[in-house]
Amino acid sequence: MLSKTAQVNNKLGFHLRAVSVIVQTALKYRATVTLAKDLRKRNGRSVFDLMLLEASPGTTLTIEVDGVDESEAMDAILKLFKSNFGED
Amino acid sequence: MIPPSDEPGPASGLDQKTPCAVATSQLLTGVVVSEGIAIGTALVISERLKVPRYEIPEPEIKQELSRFDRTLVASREQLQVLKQKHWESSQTVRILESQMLMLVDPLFMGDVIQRIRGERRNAEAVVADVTEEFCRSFEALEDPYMRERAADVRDIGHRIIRNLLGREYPSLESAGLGTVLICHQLSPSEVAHVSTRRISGIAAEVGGTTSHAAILARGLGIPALVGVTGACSSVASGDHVILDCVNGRIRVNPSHEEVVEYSDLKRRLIITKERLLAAQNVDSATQDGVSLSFRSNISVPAEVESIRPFGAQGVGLLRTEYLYMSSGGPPSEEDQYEAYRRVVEASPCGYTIIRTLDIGGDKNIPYLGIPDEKNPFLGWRSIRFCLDNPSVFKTQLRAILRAAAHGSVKVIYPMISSVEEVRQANQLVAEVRWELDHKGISYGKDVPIGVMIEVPSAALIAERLAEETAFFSIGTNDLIQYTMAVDRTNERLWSSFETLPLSVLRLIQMVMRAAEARQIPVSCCGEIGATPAGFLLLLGLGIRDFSMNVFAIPQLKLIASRISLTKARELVTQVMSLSTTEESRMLLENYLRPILESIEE
Repeated sequence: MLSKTAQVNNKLGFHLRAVSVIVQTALKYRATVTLAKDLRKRNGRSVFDLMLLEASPGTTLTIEVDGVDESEAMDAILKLFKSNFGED
Repeated sequence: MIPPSDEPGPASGLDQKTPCAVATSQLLTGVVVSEGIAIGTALVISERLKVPRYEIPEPEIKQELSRFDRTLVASREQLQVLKQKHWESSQTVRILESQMLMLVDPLFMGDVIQRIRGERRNAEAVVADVTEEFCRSFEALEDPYMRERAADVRDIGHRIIRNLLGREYPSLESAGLGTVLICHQLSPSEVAHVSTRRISGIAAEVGGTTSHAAILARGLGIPALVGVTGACSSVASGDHVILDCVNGRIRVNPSHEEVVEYSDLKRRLIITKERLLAAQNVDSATQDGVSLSFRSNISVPAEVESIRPFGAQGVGLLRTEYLYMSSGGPPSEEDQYEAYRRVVEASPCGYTIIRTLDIGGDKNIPYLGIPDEKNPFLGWRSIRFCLDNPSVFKTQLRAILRAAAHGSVKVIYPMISSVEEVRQANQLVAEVRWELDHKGISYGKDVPIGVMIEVPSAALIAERLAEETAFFSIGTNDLIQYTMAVDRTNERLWSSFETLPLSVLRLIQMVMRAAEARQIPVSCCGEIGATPAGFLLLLGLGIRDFSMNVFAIPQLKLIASRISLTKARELVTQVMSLSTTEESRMLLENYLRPILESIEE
């Protein structure tokens, strides 16, 4: 299992668009993806769960990825954070 | 319910008479956002789904689960089809894609499956319950944007339940010609399903001039009412209705006499409209040969395609708020660039004036995080918001300047109240130009930048503003609101401002003098300019460029050809010598009545 932290830096935080991009990515891998800002882990494949996480800009999240293709999945997720989920 | 902002919803200004047959039918009222009359069969598309609730015997649970599963597949296919149908709108596609992800949401669907199994209840009932629980979770969030996502949850929940019940989405493909759409508020799904050719009118329970329903209707040129309280419960699908978007009412199951009378009114309306349209090529000039230009105010890029038949020379005001209101986040530079370019390229001739983001007041956009304010019209809105959020503002400016490479464009800043604001905004424009140069991206190099005169302070310092900008455009609605200290969403107060009060006439006179001294053009893009009396006064004050709701243009061209500038100036002098608005209204009405009658004959 891999664990990393990343900061939400896009302008609007985890609104529908950013969350959809994460879920679309998580669905491409077999590994499970969770995101958390406190103890409660949120399912990286659930649009609803991630929106209810209420990650506003500046929030630091712990990302955990577990499964056969975990390193590729982690890379892909971190890339999304870095690119501000493809927003401007 | 929001009354029109600087936009005349129904602005043909035709002198319609209300049919006077004794009303025997049920009557509902609303606010006209698109003028006309529709007589047809109602299709209620926000009717409450009746969710059946029953137990599932143990041996049939498996069957129930696979029924649910098949429904998800079918729902997904529907969304896929819609996505293809709407490929041109990247925002709609994005919404639909998010909805497709919701259909495979492990939390939501997992919960449904577990509870069908555990509670042995039918899928419809469980989906309805889970939807409500998720909605409550969203509604409890702090962020207003997130709270609004409850609507998305409900939208997807409804889709699943509909499919479980085998109740087709009221795809209007199957609706008969002349269907009048009755809804609570058009949801994204409903908008996506609307087949436009068969709808003759729309009535929505909630929403303002910028609601999806209103924008859709205006784009299609079909009559529409919003704010029709109780429409969905008072009207049933299949009812005969008269949608009277002249007087703002709906008659449900009208009597024969009412139908006859409204058909007659409708016919007269169409005839007048056709006559007015026939005047589209009449030169826009006054009786004494002063040439005028008429442009169209538009809210949605697609509207540009329908302005030519009305004789609009181009777009005198492109509102950009809709781009920001129709999605869950700010539109990207690319999306904006495409939208602006589309307008610039399709504009009949001359330039397009693009107004930078004018939010706040009565137009809030949840995700921008503008807090609830006690006096939103005096609040953190419009240019004030943009200057505090330079990255949002610069994204828009970049998109506009790039679009300007494809045709003639002018940019206008809304809500300017001081020279400082103009300088700050210009500084950001300079930065954007520098960045575009630096990156070698092509853009329009000579884009004139102007300011809206809609705050009294701007009118009072017009001569200073004229030194900083290339043109002015007067926004009469806000200028009246801020001069008279009257909230224009307050219907009790606002309805008395059918014409320009003396105070506002004086402010406009100051603006005209300041502009003349610096030789900069002044146009008017307010609602008042689209009324015969307002037009007459503005003409007399020196305005030659008008921008308005496109429907008002043919009539004003006819009026213009029947009055002289000399007379208009004389009337302004007379009106400004009077003390009350009522006196000036009488004076103008007496002068205009024969002219209006001669046009109608």
